[in-house]
Amino acid sequence: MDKPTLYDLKLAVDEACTNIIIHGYSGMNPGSIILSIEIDPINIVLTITDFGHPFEPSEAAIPDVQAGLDDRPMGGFGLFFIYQSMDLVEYETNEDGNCLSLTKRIQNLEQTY
Amino acid sequence: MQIKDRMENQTRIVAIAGNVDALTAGEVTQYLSGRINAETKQIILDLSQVDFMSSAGLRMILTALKASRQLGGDLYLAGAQSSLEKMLKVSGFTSILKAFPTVEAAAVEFSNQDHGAAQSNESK
Repeated sequence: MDKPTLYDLKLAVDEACTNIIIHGYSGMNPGSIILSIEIDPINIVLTITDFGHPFEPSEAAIPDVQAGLDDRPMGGFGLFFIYQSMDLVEYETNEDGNCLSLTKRIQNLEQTY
Repeated sequence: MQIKDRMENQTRIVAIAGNVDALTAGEVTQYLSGRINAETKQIILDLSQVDFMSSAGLRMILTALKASRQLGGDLYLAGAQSSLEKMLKVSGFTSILKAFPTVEAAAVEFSNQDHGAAQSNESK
């Protein structure tokens, strides 16, 4: 796997887990984070499951990347980088927990076949 | 994560190595806040040895940038590797601060500014 792809995967997992620790389990006893990875010739799919407060990524505020220094918010970039670094972001909450599914298309597809 | 720093012509050059993430960014923020003051307000952050940075690292940069500008100084970035450079670009950071390929190029920019300021003082 090339370095930029690895960086993107690390960035998305780091930001997602940081959000779960800070926001998901906020005010609760520390809980589990389960990470599973599936790799097929086309995609890498990372699934991150937690049992904290549910969160709807599509409803989160998008940071203003045009903002000047004084207006620039200090937070909100974690989710932004998850969307920037992944090709598909899906989120589901059910009785089995909160499940964030991150799909990254593997680059150099022609080399895969 | 490691931090090294040196002074050169009134500019503090802070070199960070390793990972700057939610676990380590606070340490860098604290380190910088103790060293940005009226005497040293020109900062170059050497990121050439940073393997990984998350949004927590960008918050650290923002905090230090604000501190140096409030004192009339500035903070430049130097040597960011390609993935980090891309993060700085897409998040709009490169429109609020200056980023250079090398520490030397950033230092030249500071010394040109100092020179310009000295000249404008002379002409007053």
